Order: sequence, then structure tokens, then C-alpha cells
Amino acid sequence: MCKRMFMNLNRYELVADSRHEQFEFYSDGDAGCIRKVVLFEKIAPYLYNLSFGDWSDVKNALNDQCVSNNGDRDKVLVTVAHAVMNFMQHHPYAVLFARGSTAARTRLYQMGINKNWDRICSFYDVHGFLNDKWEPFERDKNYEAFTLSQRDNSVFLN
Amino acid sequence: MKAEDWKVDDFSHTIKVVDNMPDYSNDPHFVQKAADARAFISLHGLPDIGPCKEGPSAQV
Repeated sequence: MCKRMFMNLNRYELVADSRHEQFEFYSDGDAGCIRKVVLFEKIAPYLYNLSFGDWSDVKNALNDQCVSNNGDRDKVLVTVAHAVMNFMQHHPYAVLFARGSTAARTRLYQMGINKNWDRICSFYDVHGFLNDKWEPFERDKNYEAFTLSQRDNSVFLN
Repeated sequence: MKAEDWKVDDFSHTIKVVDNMPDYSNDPHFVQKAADARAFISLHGLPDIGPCKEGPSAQV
């Protein structure tokens, strides 16, 4: 049931770079067409930082603190989830770290995990940072940061 | 541009791959985000998770 729900969720078409560490898609909603960038940046061996934000063609720069209000939050979250899964498929030993630039952005990450949890938990180990310690992710808690790593690499080596 | 079909279990998606995407990691916001992440991890560490054990320890 959950798998079918996840697969049927609407999402945007993703474009990846050849390393599968940068992804782009276009959010098309109430505020117009907005280029979104998802970046997985290596910050230590096997450790990548997830960043996500809107690209301004005017400023030729990213703004990861803006709120688009494009009326397509769920569709964007599912698309980012696809980018994460594609990245993890190509980087099976990676540990992904995610922390929003604002509390609202961190909650957005949490919502993305919550919405796709039934799918995510079958593939990935997710931890959250709360009260000065890391712990296995629980849906009803508001964490400051997250890590995600593959639960069983053999699943991805088909 | 090429299209790659990728499949994880029954979770499949066709994704386009390009060779000429800008290097977003040079953007000041992303540079700052990476620095913030390093600082956070330096301060709080990481959870004890499997993949880190299989490779070199992740030292920030």
C-alpha cells in the first residue's frame, strides 16, 4: 500500500550531473517556474552534505533560505527524495548529512522523511540529532539534523 | 544529454544526465552550507552507523 502510494506521488523530472552529486528540477506552481538545485557535497571521506535551494538566474546564485510559496511543497519533497535515492544508488557507502539553513528548512527535511518514511526505513538507516545527541529517527520528534545511510548495500548492486 | 533508467526494488525513475551542469558547489551559499555542516559535525560528531565502519573514518 505504502509503496504504491509513494510511486504514484507526483514529482518533477530530475536532471543529474555525470557524478550524480548535483540535481536540478523546475518547480512549476503559483509563483511561476523556479529552478531548484539539490547538491550532495563531499565534506569528508564517505560523508556528504545535502543542500537544497532555489536558483536565481538574475543573481546567478542560490538562495537556500527563501520560501518559494509555489504551492507544490509535496511534489518538491518527493522530487528531492528521488534525488536522494538516486545519489545513494550511485554512492552506496555514503553517509548523508542534512541540516536546514533555518529551523523551517530543517522541518521541511523532516516532513520529507516523514512523508516517505515507510519507503525510506526499508532502505536506509536514519538518525536524528536532538538534545545534544544522535538517536535513531522517530517520526514524531523535531530534530536539528539528520544522517542517512544505506541499510543493506546489496539491494543496490543489481 | 542521456537518459538513465534506474531501479531500486520497484522504485524506478528515468533521469536525465548532463555533462555541462554548472558546478554549484562554488556558490557562496553552498560553500557556507558545507562549512556549517563541517562545524556541526566537528562539534557533535556523527551517529555510529554502518557504512562509516567499512571505509576510512569520516574526519571533518
